Amino acid sequence: MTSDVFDRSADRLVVDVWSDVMCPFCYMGDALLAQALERFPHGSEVAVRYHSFLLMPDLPADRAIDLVELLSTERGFPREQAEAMNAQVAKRGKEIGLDYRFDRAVAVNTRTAHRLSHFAKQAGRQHEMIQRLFRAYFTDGLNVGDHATLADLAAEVGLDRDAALSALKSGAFDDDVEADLRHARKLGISGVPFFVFNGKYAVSGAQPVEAFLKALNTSFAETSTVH
Amino acid sequence: MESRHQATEIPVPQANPEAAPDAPQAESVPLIFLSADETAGVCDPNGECY
Repeated sequence: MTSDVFDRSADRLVVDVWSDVMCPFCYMGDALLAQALERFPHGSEVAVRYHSFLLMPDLPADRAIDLVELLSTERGFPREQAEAMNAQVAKRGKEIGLDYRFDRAVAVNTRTAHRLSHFAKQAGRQHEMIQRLFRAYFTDGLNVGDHATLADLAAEVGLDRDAALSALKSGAFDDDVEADLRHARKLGISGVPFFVFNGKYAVSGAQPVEAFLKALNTSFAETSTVH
Repeated sequence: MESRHQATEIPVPQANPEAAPDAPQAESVPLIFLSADETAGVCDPNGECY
C-alpha cells in the first residue's frame, strides 16, 4: 500500500516534496509519485515527507476568490485562456484518475491549510490530509482557508476535529510552515511540485511516473552501495 | 524516453533519516536534476502554471 510509505520515519530512501494545496500540478505530481511508489520494488524502504510552499502568499486569508476570476482579472490571463489552460490540466488529471473542477475552485491564502498539514503530521497523517486538501480545493470547491471547513476535513481523515480547530485558531504550526519556506528558499526552489531524493536528485514538476521511478531507482541504488 | 542530467550548485539538504526525520541537514551538495519530460507541469510563486 503506497500510503504506508508516507508520514513515517525514513529507512533508506527519503523523498522530500514541496507543494502547495492550490497547485494543480502538485496534486498531479503527488498522484504520479504514488503510482511510481506502487511500482517501485523497495517501496517499504522509502519515506516521503511533505513541505509547505505558498504559490500566492499575498492572497487574503479571509476571503475566497473564484479561481478563474482571479486568473483573468488579477493575473492578466484572458478568461478564455485561463479556462483553456485549466481544461488542459483537467484532461491530463483525468488520465491519472484526478477530478479537477476548476469552475468550482476558490482561491484563498493556503498558509492555514499548510498549518493543518503540519498538525496532521504529528499524528502521522500528513499525506492523507494533503490528499484531502487537494480534493477539497480542486474537486469539491471548498474554501481551504476557512477554519471550520478545515477542521471538518481533519475529522474526515481521522483527526480530532476540536483539536484541529483549536490549533488553527491559535496559529499553531506557523513556525513549521515558515521553516519549510526558508528551506525552499535555501534550495532555490522556484516552482512546485519539487521533489528531492535523498538530498541529491531533484525532480521538478509533475513528471511522468517513469521519471519518478528513475529517481527512485537511481537514489536507491546509490544508497545500497553505501550500506 | 530520453532523459538529461544537469548538475547545479544549489545547496541542498543531505538527507540523514536517522538523525533528522523532519528536516534534512543542509550541506552544499550539487543537486542533480532528473528531467524526462519537458512538458511536465510546474507552478511558480507568481501563481502561474506551465
